[in-house]
Amino acid sequence: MNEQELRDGLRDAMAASSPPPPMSPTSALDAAHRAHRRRRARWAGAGAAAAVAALAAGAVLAVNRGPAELPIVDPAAGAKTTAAGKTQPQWPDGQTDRTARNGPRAEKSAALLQALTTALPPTLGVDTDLKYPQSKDPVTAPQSQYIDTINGKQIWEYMATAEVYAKAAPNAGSARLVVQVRTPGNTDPADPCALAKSFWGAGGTCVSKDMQGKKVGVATSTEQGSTRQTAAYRYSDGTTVFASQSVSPRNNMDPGGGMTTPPLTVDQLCAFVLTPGFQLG
Amino acid sequence: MRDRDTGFTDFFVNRSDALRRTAYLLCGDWHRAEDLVQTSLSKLYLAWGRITRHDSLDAYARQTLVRTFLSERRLGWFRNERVTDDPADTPAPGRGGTEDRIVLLAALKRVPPGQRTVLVLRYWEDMSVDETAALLRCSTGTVKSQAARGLQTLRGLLTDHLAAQHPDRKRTE
Repeated sequence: MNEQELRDGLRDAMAASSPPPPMSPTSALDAAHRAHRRRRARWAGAGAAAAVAALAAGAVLAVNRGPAELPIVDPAAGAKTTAAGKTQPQWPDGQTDRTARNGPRAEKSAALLQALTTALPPTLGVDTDLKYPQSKDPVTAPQSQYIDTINGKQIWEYMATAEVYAKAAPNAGSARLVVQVRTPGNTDPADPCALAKSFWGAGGTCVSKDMQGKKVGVATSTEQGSTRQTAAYRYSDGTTVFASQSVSPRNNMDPGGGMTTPPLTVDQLCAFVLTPGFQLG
Repeated sequence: MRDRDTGFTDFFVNRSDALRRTAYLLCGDWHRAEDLVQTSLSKLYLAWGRITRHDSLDAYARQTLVRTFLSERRLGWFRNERVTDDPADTPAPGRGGTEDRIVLLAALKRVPPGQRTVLVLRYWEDMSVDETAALLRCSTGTVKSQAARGLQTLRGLLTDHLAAQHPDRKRTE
């Protein structure tokens, strides 16, 4: 089944389905009125509680502190957040969504892709032309995305994906290699195995390996019928680095065309994740 | 208030059926689909003044519906949703094309909710990758990978079904 078949299938299925009788607009309006009344009651309660708290705080300040010691609060600072009244998160640096498409953040993931390409063994090449099916987007690409702000610090995730093939057998299939870096302050696990298994929620089995005097977690999981191996390492400053490989090409969009064995051995993957160029602060 | 009620009622009459169909594809159950639509449209009513000034009502309603579905799942509704080989709320089996449609809906219900949401938005609502990413507050890469995995899962489920129905039929790529 491809995308168009699914599209057609959904339309056929819904055209042939027998939904219950239409919903009643009167009942819907009644329910909406009830929701409106509930919200007004909540706001009234919250307002009364805030007024009582403000009166109590004012009384304490008036007794204990002189007027010169009262904190000066910029009224616009609070108003700025409340006036917007938005429930959606605020993206940093004027972004319209989580992804940084240009600027210094975007350049970091581009640098990560460059570091990935440079760190590959000489036996592997990178296919920069392969596109996702029915898309103009190449598989080999970088991506920078904002995760969260924790304790006033922005946490970012930089990802580089490369479609790799064996230079000795360029027509024998290709596989996907992903390096993902999260900046210090992230909430990733400290344990190497827990860290490796947390990558994309893959889980699986894990072993901890010593590589260059460092503990690297290597998780092996099955994803849509193919095996994924992920090596992970956490630097002392909190930066976490994942290197993950799957024999399936193109983000698992094609059933065929993959390599028969992973592009890197487990030891190579462990050494690969420790590439100094991947530690992006 | 009267203007809001009139506008809300008009919108409900025109759009509730389409929203209910989308909700049905998301949750696989007509009764729960109606609850989802009701909850989403109540939220729409509360935000009516702001939305009619700034945004498209239809887009807001769709966005609220999807987020309500996903958040209810996180808050515990998912306990009512179990991946099973035998979904309960499906029409009686038929033959030929009807059976194919039933199988497709049953298979869709077994796709993980996150992937299913992306499939419904992309291939039922015909939203672009960018629009889907904006609605789900995720990157376009995530939408693409979720759509690919969802299709892969669906394809696997349908293949398994065919193999079970016709064990003697040779599998072809």
